[in-house]
Amino acid sequence: MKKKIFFLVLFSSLLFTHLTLFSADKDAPSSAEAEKEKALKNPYPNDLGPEKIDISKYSAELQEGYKLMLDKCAKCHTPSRPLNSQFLDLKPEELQTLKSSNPEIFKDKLVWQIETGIWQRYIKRMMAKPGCNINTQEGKKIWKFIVEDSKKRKTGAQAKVWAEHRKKLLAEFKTKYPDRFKELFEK
Amino acid sequence: MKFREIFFNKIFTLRNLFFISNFLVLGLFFYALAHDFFREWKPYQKEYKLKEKKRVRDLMEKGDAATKSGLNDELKKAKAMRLEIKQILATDMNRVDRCITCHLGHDSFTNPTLINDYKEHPYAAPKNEIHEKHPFEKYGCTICHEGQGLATTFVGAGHMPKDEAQKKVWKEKHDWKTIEFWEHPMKAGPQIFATCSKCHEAHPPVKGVEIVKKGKQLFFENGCIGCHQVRGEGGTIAPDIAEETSVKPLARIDFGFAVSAGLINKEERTLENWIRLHFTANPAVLTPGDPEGHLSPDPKNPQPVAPTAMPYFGFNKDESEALVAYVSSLKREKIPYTYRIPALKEPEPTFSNAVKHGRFIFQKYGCTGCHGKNADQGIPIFNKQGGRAPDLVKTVGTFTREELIEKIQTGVNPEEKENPKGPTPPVYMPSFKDKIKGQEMEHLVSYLLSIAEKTEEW
Repeated sequence: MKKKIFFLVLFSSLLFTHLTLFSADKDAPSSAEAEKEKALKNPYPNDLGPEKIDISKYSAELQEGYKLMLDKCAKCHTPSRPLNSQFLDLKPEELQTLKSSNPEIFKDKLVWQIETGIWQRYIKRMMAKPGCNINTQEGKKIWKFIVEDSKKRKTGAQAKVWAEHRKKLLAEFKTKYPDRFKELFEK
Repeated sequence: MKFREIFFNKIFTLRNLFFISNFLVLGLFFYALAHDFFREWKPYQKEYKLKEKKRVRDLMEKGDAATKSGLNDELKKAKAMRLEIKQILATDMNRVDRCITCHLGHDSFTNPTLINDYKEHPYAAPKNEIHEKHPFEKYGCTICHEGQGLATTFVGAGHMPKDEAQKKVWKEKHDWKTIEFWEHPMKAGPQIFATCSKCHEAHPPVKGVEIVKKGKQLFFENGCIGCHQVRGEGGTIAPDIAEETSVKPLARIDFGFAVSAGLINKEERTLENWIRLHFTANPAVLTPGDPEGHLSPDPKNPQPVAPTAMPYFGFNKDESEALVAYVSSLKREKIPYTYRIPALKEPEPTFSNAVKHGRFIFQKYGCTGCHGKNADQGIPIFNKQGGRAPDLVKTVGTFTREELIEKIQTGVNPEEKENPKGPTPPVYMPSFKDKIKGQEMEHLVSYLLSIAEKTEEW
């Protein structure tokens, strides 16, 4: 009888230990979660903006890119990071046109950082990160959406609204994270 | 009469005790005499004496009268050879070497020309260019050969076999084993040339020293300097191989994992083997750390430790031996400066274009150590997100020139953990801001951008 009780207690304690360890492993965040944690530890003004935008008027292809962006990019950082970014990716001819039509837009790089291929570089860089599961097709769709969305919301008639929005984010960021602001923009 | 009374009054008396102890002392005296008479080195000296007498007599027999009278003194000298411990006091080298007690042909007093016809050890004379330039009476033996100069036994001298066959013979003949915790076992085979650089810091153009030079080249090509330092120059992630590794005390080396993994046996626990194992085996087996933190003093607050950062490079035997020789060659000793020939800083090679120079810079700062010889194979890094260093050919193309410069200057320290509860990844990308500057940085970036994988332009 005593022997039976001994083995019962031993078995229960082994089971308990195993379950405890197993649940502890389950608690360990994945690589993407860790990346997200890192992203939140090192915030950008973009992160303070909205995480979603109205895409009802966008084409089906762009809408697909938007959904992919929410799904894939948000694994490592909030969707607000690309959505509220100052990046504006224009083709060389578009860049020239904008330079002559709206030279003011090139003055404040914290509001509009205009470069040819900037989004392409960043998306490909993220794709090259270990553990990133965005394939080339998906990356291209996300890139198309981000490039087009940037043009739609940051230039033309929307330029003024964008400038206000972006400046508000910068001001809020400076108040909330003065050290990080200094590190990023006043080096 | 009771036994007790008989014992104390008749047997256990002072007089009897005195007799017994006299016999014991006498026994001890004979034991000491016998022990001294059968010293391990004596048969060698007797044999050498016989050989010498026979050699001179043979010469006398063959020669004419004049030769005979000329050789008479030599025969007298051979006959007068005393069996004794012989030693060289190499004061400048801070050594007392008794190797010549057995290696009689090497004793320039017994054999002034250092030439004889004997083929077998330990009688054969060692006349060669290196010995000619380094007379034993001035340098001793162990300054180059290492070993325990004061010893007068085969095992005590720290002899090391050059291969398994020799080890087997020695075990049978001399009951050979290593001396536990003796820091300087003798150098065997080509490893002897590692000691030249104690004085000749620039590796002299002498036959045999190629092994050290090859090791140095491998060390450069594989980017070891990215993590290790050599006398303060290099990365700060791993030990300085000159100041720490090449002179590491055995007591500080944990051979436990290597022995339990069957990589070496207890007899083979030498510094040279410790260094060798880093090239022939996976270093993570030698230094597995404590990734789960089981050995932490406070189990409630585990402090996990990552395994060694050093990857398995897969060197072949020759490469491993060359690297062992190079690392060992970095050992320095207190030798008067008049003996030392310091190495001048080698001029850097010149290159026909920026990309070629950039590739050299990539090697010079040890980037290859983590990113691979062609920047296309990142090494595994324990608990780093993604598990390995980036393959630069895949990533550099996503950076502009300026972004790449900033990345190299800033580095990534610490690397993000895959498992936040696990240990800190043992390797990080150091900041090269103070090391790679100006043209070197420009050319490095040119090289990196030149190898970037071409991707579809969107």
